[in-house]
Amino acid sequence: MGLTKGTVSYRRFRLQDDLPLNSPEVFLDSIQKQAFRPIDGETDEEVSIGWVGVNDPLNTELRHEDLFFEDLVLLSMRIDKKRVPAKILSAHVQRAFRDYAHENDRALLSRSEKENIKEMVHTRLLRRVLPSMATYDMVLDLSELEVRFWSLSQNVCIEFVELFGMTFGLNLLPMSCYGLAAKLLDEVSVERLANLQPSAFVRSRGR
Amino acid sequence: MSLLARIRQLDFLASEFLTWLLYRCERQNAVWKLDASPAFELWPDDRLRLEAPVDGVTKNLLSGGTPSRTAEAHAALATGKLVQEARWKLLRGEKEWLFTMKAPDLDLRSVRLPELLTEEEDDRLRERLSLMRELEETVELLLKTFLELRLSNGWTRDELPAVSEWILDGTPSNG
Repeated sequence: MGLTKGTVSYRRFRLQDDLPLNSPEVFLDSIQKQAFRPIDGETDEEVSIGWVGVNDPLNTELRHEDLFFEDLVLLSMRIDKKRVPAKILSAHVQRAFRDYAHENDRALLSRSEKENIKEMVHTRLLRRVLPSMATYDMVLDLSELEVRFWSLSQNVCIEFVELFGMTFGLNLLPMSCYGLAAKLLDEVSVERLANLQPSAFVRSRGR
Repeated sequence: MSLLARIRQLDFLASEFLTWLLYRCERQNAVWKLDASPAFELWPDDRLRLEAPVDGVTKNLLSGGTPSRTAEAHAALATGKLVQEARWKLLRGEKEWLFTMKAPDLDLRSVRLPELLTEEEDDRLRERLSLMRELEETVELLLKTFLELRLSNGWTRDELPAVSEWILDGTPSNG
């Protein structure tokens, strides 16, 4: 479930830097440069990550009216991944080893020969595999300088922070206890929090 | 110190916050009146996970009914376990949110927003985001209250002994 319907689970981030005073056109241009591009089926590319329109993972021609909503920028991060199933790869590799040994009248193959064969088989199979696709919505709030991102997976969040940084040149701080404290308290109080020790919540009676 | 180290340094406060929240909800009968904000109700719902902060291995997962009021929950707290995950119900006026918070990240999870009043797609999006913001502001207000209290002398002088009493009063041996 994402931005527009259903229950929501999301991570909040705060911009660590001030928003550059760019015009919407420059902003849009930055997004378009990181728009999603499908994996090239003729290469051994395995992963592609980029922006698409919310509710339309095929929309990579991102226009102003698709993205901007009042003080918000609405986008989805799309991740396509191609992966050759391990058992299929193994079966094809074993057959390729046997064929190579037979053609070259060899009983044993060297490690480098095996690695080369495995690489070739993997590349050949990869071109036949359809990618899996996942999308994750995000909202950049330009007035509050905060981001909401619809995934709690650590790996997906890392990809998101990286894509966000590449697109806008801005760093994100997760709104965990530290990030929230930095928003809610003054700097001195945050420093004092860092010096606290965990409390013992249970004491024996009479102390 | 790196940013990641600074973030990790405060992680322990998340489970302290959730445990304190549970205590205050019980003590205040779920009614909260903070700052100039209108009063609201917050109480623990049907899921509670407690873990020892040190080993993190032994845990109690309680679900169904009101697990925070069970003897098991208090017994776990009495052994030093803290709340690592809890589902909450928030009432502000006619609006009701259900949501889960976990330590240490305090992300808002499985949030069920109040019923939407608008029909148009743009209006619904605006309303959903506004309801999410309302929940975030409430959680921030609660966390700010906790952190300020945690930094004050009143934490060790008054609050912590009161939490301890509440935990021990609810354990099976204390009826």
